[in-house]
Amino acid sequence: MSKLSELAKIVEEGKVAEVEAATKAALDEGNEALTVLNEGLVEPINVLGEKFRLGEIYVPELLIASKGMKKGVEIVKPLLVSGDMESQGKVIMVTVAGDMHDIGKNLVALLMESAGFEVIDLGMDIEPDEIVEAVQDNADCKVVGMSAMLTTTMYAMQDTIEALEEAGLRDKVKVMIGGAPVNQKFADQIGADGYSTNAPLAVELAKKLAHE
Amino acid sequence: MDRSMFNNVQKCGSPLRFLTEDEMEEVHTKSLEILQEVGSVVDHKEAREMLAKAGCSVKGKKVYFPHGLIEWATREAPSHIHVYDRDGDLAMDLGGRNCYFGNGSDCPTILDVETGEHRQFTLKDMEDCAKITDALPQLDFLMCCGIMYDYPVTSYEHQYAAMLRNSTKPQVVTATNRESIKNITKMAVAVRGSLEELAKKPLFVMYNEPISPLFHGVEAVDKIMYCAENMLPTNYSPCMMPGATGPMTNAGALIQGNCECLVGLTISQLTHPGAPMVFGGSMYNMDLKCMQPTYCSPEAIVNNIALAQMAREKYKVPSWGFTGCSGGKVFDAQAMNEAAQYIYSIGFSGTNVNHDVGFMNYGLTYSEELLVACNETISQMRRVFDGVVFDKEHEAMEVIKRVGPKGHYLSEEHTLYYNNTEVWQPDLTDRADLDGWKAAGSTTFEQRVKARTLDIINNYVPKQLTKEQDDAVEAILKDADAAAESQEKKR
Repeated sequence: MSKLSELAKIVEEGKVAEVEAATKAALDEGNEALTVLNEGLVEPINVLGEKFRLGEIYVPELLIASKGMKKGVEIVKPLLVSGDMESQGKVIMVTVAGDMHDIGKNLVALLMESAGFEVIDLGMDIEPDEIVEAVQDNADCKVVGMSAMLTTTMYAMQDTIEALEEAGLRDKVKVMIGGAPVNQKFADQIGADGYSTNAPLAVELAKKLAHE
Repeated sequence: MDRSMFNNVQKCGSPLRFLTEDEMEEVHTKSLEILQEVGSVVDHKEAREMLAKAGCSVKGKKVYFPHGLIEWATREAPSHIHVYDRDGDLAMDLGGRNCYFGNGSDCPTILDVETGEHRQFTLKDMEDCAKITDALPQLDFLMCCGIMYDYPVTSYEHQYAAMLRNSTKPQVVTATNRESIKNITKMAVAVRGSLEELAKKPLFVMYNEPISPLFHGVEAVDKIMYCAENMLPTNYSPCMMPGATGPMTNAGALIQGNCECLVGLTISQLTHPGAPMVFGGSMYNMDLKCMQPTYCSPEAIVNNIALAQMAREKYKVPSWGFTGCSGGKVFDAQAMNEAAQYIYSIGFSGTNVNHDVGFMNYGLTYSEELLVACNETISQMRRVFDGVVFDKEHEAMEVIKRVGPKGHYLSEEHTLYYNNTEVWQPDLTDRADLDGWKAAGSTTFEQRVKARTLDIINNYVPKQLTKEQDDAVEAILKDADAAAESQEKKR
């Protein structure tokens, strides 16, 4: 087996501690940095991502493997030509104002990273104007993802959309929402661009919105 | 009021205890270690000041708890909480191994009985759920079951009014913040007459949660303090998802959950020593393929019982738990399998406040049919755990001697008497012979449950509040809505 294939296998199997050495070995074998990135690091994560979407593997298998991928990327990145690293796009993720529940948002953020998004996670209890500021500071941001767990905080999503409109930024980003009390009817009511019921669907939605 | 033919004390010579004495001590000492070394975030300035004065080390929002303070709190909290119904009669003695059952709160959707659709909860659904709970003899308390979307800010107040108006049973209530629980308290006072009377005869237990892991939010802490200030009972239940917001293993989840409960208990007792608190949690692992909280998994059942055991045997305080729920999407064999296993586990273990009966779909959907079906299961379980009664009449020696070899008991007064007073009688459970079952319509259990559910919804009339009480509740709702609207305008 070539060192490149070995690397892909190690990443897919989640053997995080072995990734650094395997990445160096794949480079030493004579493979281009971009090839090592795409075939040795990104491709196994894509395979796992698809298996996870189909319910064939557990989320920790994907997330632990992603940790391994990131270790390999740190080694390969300095060797790449600028523009080589393809990203799905930049996404800002938040739990809205007044809400301290973030496990759902964290899970979606992790899966988005595994899927190739650059994620800016602002955290929890984030006011509308902080979100507007983050969108202003990240002109290349394509999607804003908002999460809420409570009926008493979900209306902050509406406030945020209104704040983006007032700042003249509403047509610069797509807004997607999620969380237990939220539903499609609410998403339509507040003018969100999308709503998803679970984390894998959120990633698919983000991909769709980012390329619209 | 006729609550049940059977009592609520689980008579079981060898109750289910997962933890030995040493293991309970292990959970306790590991909790002390985490609370002192790792601490917890207490996002409430006044509470942090109070904890600092009591000997905690406070760095920013992080609080580190000395062992002695935690152990003091466990000694202060009362071992029993007596809860009364709307008429002022004793309804629940929370403590020991007394078991009580109720529905749950704040589901976004309901499983429509007629159409089978998962649709958004409405006010009428809330009223129906309260009526059904009122009508079912084995249900001891009610929660709101669903979310009141029509009132974004005052949803909890409207939920409470619906419960108060449609059942005389005591409630477990949810609230946004101090203002919200104050409004709910006002409505309860409208029934009791005064706050002092309400504290003496609680009508509700408040429901409250930390955010796992080890985070105590500003509103949650404020609500603990409000209840303690007024000597109103509350729980403080970690809704941890082992694998996501807690350790995957039972022992690890127990230790973290115990820590979270102990912080709530400590804040409560520091605010007012002796404040009534129910101890326990809902620790259902996250399914790591579909990434939903399992609600009903074997691991969740173990966590539920074990943390309640800590409450009952280690800390000697009333215990909190959940039961009668399913991860399923329809009222079918899976729903009954999961719910019934869970209900029987409570019989074995003796947890005091068992909520969420009727929850489906990871707590996102409420099923009135599952609630009605569980009433039957709870009544069977209660009869099982009434066990064997020993006295002269029950030993039946006189009857055995008189009937003798090859006699029969069918015409004995003893048979008739105990059949009528103690033998469990089926209600929705079919026991007919095959021809009898066919003659009665060849119905399935699901069909009989559906018919009963619709019958209660369409025909049962709960006892109403007096006009004076109802007017007072309406006035409180109007004030709450007006205050919410004026705050909205200011924003």
